[in-house]
Amino acid sequence: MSCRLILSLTLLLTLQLGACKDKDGEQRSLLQDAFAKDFPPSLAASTLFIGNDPARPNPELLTYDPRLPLWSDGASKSRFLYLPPGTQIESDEDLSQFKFPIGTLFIKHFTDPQSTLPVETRIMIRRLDAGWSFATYTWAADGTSTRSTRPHEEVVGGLRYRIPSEKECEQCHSRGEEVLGFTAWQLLSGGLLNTLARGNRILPEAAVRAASQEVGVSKAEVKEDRVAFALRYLDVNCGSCHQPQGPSKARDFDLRWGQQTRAGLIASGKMVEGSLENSAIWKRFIAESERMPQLSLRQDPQGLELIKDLIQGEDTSQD
Amino acid sequence: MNAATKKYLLVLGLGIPLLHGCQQSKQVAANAQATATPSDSNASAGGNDAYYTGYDGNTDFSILLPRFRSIVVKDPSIAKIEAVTVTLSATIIDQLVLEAKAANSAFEETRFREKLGKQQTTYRITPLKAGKTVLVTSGGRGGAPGKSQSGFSKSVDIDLIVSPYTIQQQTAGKARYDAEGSGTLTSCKSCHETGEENAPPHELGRIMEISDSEALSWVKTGEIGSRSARIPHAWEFSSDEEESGIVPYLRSKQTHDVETLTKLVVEEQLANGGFMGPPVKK
Repeated sequence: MSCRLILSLTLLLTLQLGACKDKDGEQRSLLQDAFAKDFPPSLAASTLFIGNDPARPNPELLTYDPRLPLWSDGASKSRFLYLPPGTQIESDEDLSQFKFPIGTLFIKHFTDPQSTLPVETRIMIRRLDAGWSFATYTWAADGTSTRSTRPHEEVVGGLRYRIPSEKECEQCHSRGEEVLGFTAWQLLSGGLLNTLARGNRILPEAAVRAASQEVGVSKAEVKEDRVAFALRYLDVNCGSCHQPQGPSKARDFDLRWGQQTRAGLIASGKMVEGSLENSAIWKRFIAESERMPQLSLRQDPQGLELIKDLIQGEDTSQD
Repeated sequence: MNAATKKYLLVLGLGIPLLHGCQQSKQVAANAQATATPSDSNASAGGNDAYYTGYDGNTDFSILLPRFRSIVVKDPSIAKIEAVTVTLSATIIDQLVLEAKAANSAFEETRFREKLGKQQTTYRITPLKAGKTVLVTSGGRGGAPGKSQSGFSKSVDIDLIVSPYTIQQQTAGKARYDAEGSGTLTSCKSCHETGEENAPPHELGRIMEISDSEALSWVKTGEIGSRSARIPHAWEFSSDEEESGIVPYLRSKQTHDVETLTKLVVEEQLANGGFMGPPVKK
């Protein structure tokens, strides 16, 4: 048996185990090391995907889906969470705040739904002193990935996709809410929080268990209250900018959940009850330029339906 | 005398078109000296005040300078100088009066018309090739002892730095400026040509006061040294060509017309709540 073959088998075994020990005997993960200091120029050696195949995520990754995803021009999205060995997410009793351990990775992989070709992979990691760092990787037809340095568009499966820059990632994932969508409302029905609690990876575990019983609402049940769901949609898709700490153009119009009601939208003049054509919010969703949600290249059919309901429907949201 | 009155008198006394950047130029120059790096190849090296422009053999990069009794270009092969004497047209003055009245009903129309109606002489500096030279000036318009009203000492050497640009940079810079992009690729013109966010028009030409690297830093981060933009800038580019071209294009956008510059300066003052004139005397 040649040395090269032995080395290859050893590497394969290590990859499959996904972890090794450092010189102090502490358990370390290859994934942890791949992004610990900086983002690599490609994902090939990161062990994020087995065989660099996005369809085969590293088994150390936890898969999850939020109840209401951000509109991403119709791309299919796979989401993964990685927690370094022996670490836990800390939360408060009502699960409104989460503190992630150093080395936490959030990965979102985008696929063109028609061709099933990969579009991009976004990664955010919590580093020691620097807070969260961000990177985006695009995929070529030959299956190789490259770290993207500039905001740009890619055409995949005949459709255009807007690839954000790292600066753009940082602009949305900021203001004390770096991990967008990691909320009890978004995650309880998908089971991630319960999975974390069962694995003793989130504290306090009791809060998760209690919340999962109290808030464990199915997607179908939530969607029955269309107005409330529309307000949730605005929170998810618009609330990271439209809030008091947001960009100057957006900060006067707070669209975060709990800060906005249908009546409030009407009072603000952004929405005229029963009239799509006179509602500024509707116009922004169908506009050819500077369309909302920001960075979108295509209109969001679900978003349009929800905004329509919001403009035409009755107010059943929580005031 | 309140701040608005001081600004009013200062601007009128200076001959509006030429003074638009002078208050800032000292501050920016000081910041530039504090932040200039060895790689900033076109930064002023002599510790003088400096003006920056460019040359690509095709684009008009001329700049309009504050009034001195005389300005001599030390190396006439780098730039030529010409005096431009202008009396504002009645149409423009009437328009500005209307705008000023709308901003402040206590506005002193007679004095305003008197000041703006005077003939003004401005110096236009037109680059002839890339390089560095010195503008030897003298006879600033009085003001505080040792200072002209433009903020410069009465006789001062001002570096003129002409950067080498290409026509391709102009094209790429214009593409970025006009691009219908989103996020950090939002077009520059969406604010600077609409007045949104109170963004000043680039025709004002303030970029002449900062080096290329400072200007690019301003575009990308909204910061030059300790100075920060009121509205944060965090713009990016689709390509290296766009990034290389934005500063040359911005330099080319400054107006070369004294009358237009006068109008822009007054309008900016009005938009910022200044230039409304002293309160009506009772």
